[in-house]
Amino acid sequence: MGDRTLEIISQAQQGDAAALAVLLREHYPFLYKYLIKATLDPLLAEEIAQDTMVRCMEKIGTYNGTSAFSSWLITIGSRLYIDRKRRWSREAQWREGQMQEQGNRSLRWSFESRNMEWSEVLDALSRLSSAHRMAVLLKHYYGYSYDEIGEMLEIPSGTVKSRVAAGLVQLRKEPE
Amino acid sequence: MRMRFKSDEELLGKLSAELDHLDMLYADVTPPSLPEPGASNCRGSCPTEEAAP
Repeated sequence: MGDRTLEIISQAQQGDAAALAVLLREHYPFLYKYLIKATLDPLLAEEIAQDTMVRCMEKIGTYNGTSAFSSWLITIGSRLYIDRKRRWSREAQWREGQMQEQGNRSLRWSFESRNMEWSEVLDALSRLSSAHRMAVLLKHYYGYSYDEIGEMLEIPSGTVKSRVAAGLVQLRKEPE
Repeated sequence: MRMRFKSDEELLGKLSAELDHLDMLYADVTPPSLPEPGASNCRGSCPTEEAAP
């Protein structure tokens, strides 16, 4: 994390609204792109990104610099996504499935409308559970350790490891 | 069980490339206007306090 970012964070923590706005604006694309990959649903990613920004504005004083600011945002965004999925599951399983399907279709359309291929791997990724997808993404795309992911998602690192392994098996498996 | 990649490395190489393409699709994303603290945009249900690390 650069000196400039640290300076802006410090200003934001002291109540400088303009510094906070700069901080959030500069990190929004990174956060949104992570959430697109985690949710595979552009609309849901946008909603969770906005909620993450709100949470960040409320909690900026608690950021202690032990992890990169971007990792802190990923942690908040991931937990909000997990929370959203839990609530949906409690409300109605079918609704969760329908919304996920709708989100995937929208993303697939975005790909195909730009003459980009919606590959088998992305299709397989969309069929993983959100828990497995986040574990694989954070480990193998973002490069976090099992322990770091465990802390982010508030689960034991052994659980992260088994989710990553199971996720990779599912991704490699030929569709039936 | 039939596997479509010879190894995890091959799968991860392909997956990274595909996710890079996905990033490119949203390369020009711009942040929306910042919401007011306390506001929420949640669809169907709202986040809990537990999300803050």
